[in-house]
Amino acid sequence: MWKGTRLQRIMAMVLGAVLLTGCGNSGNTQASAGESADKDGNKAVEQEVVQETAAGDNAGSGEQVTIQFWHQGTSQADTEFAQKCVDSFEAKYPGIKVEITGMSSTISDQETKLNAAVLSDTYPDVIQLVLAEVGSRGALGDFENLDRFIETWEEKDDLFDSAYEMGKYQGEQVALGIFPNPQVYAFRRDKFTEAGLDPENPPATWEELKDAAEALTKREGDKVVFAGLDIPSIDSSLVFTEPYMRSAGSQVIDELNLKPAFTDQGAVEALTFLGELAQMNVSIPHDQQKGDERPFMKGMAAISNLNPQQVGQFKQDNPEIEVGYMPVMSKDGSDPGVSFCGYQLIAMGAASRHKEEAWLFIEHMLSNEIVWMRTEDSKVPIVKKSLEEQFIQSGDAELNQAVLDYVENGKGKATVPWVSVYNKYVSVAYEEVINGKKTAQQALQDALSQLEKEIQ
Amino acid sequence: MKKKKDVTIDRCAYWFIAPYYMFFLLFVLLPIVVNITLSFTDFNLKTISFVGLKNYFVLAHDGLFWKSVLNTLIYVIFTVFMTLVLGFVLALALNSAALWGTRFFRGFIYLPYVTSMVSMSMVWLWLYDPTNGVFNVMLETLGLEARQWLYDEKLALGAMIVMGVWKGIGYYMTLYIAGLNNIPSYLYEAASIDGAGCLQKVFSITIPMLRPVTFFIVITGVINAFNVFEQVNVMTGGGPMNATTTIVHQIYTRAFTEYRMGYGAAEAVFLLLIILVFTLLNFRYGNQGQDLDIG
Repeated sequence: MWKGTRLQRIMAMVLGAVLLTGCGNSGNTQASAGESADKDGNKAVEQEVVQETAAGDNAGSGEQVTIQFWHQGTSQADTEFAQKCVDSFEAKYPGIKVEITGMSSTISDQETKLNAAVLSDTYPDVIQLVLAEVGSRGALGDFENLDRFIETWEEKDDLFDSAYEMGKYQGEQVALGIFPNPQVYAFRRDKFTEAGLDPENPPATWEELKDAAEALTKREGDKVVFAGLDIPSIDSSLVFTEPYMRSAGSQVIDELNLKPAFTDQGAVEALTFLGELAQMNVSIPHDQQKGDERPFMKGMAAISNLNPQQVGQFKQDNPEIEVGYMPVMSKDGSDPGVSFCGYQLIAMGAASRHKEEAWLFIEHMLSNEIVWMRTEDSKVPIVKKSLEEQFIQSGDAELNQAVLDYVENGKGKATVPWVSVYNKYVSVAYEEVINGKKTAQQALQDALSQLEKEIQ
Repeated sequence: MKKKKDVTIDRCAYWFIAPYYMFFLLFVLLPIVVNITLSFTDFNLKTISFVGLKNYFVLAHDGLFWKSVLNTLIYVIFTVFMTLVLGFVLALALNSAALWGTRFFRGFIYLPYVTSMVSMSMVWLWLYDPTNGVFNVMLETLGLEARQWLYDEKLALGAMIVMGVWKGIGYYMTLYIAGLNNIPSYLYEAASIDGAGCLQKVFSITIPMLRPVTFFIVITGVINAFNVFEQVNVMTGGGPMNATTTIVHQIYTRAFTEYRMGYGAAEAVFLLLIILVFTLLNFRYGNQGQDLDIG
């Protein structure tokens, strides 16, 4: 009887142990959060120095160090490119192994993943991020200050100034730009010709855009079957809306004083214009963030604002269609226009235990070899001065020139900690205006009061 | 009391249930306690300080949150009611396994329930596409005007409800079929002898006998519907103009995109209370009808 009971207990314990095995550490030898930071959040400098000294010798010592790199995008092309970068890095530094993970290109999904990484102490050593995250994650102290690494970097003077500027959060260099990501207004030359418009003289002002959109739109009854212009029904990241606000003179956000500034005359004029444009029924509803579902990409629109990769994708899918590029649009021609130019950046996780190796990888990602490979593979602009001439001469000269113009006249998301709250309220204001629910002034004022209530 | 002394308790049983309770403590109870604790703080992943009931006061005046509560309630009422009625009707129609194609249709209708909500959301995005979507093509074929299903403030929540009903209906149909098979056939035979028609049998025998199943479906359906999130996040992101934002979507937005973990935790506590109320209702009414005398 006693033996039977003991056997049962052992069985129960074994069962419990088996079940709980799944909760255990997966064998990762990384140290815990407590080992990398003390109670006040300061880095455990002593330990770090020991690790970094060891890290510097890794290539020669044969001791393998593994670093984590989280990159943007989960498509096959994104993964293949990241793998190519890693392969060439590992060939250069045999002592360092890089494990890559793709992140969804949707910001909210990325935030969820990064928050989970913060809470579980699995934050990557190197991370590719978008401009908005410099402010939002920078405010949380996610990134290492890169100044001390940049000081000794041989190629530091070759990197575009904007690549440094975009990576600053409150004066601290927490990231470096790896490529600008402008939204270029592309148009179909064949549709312009069909509609009696001159493809050599595309719209350059708001009024010209309005006229062109009307002329290019095809309807069956009230239903738009071919859109003159892609006007998103949902613009949750305000990539479409902000350039209009800035072109009309609005500051949108006062980054210096960390204050909202989107209720001025310029912003009201911009939203009023977009409301009028939407009421003209010249577009097919879509969500700006769902890039591939954009009517232009499906051959159902004549004008759209796309990033260079999307332009490349469209041209690859439709080689018979000639694509043209509009100049950066000005409100009325009196002042130069402002485009949206996001930036993809690279940063080092503040909790990284292999900072020297992480920096070597960042250096590699900014080497001419990788920058040029990215340009060739993904049709994105360069960030190195020494590659400027090569870039203009290469591939699609017209697109490259347009890209450089949009980068030069571009402004990305403001780097403030509350950028997601701003996006949330102002995107609703945009939707209210284009749906005729509120006037631009009222919608923006409501957005401001809601935003202020929260950021206080 | 005397009798109780004679009962032999095999303490070994506790060892067998211990793993479950450890899981329950670690992954259910502890997170709830931590969440309630967090709701009294302003935790933002970086800093944390005690703020008392501030989150709850702010919540009480948060228009967006109450909009999400209203949207969720509308979603819950319509989804639960429609899945209940349609699940019951389908169960009646597909109850007899002897009929041709019954098994196929049961499996076919059940299939969406076991399919990932995210992948189904992608499929429904295509169905609702404003230009080439199946629904609009059908409408146009019938000579009706196409709709902007997910981009129209008045239609978007309805579109979510239809999808929710489609996804859950197979599960409820299966539960009802199981319930129908447990109803003794002699009750129907006796009713037939008494001259009852089909509808009379349904209303006088089937529906009363299925009361425990119906209560179970209502309670679990309500709890599931209150947790609606994936399709909202994938298909509309809460838009247009917050017409489809739900309580869980708000919790997600506040906690994971705005880093207001404490505030998100307070919203989660509110949801917990709502679900608690429905669970208590389950305890109170859920077993009604179990004691029907059918002997």
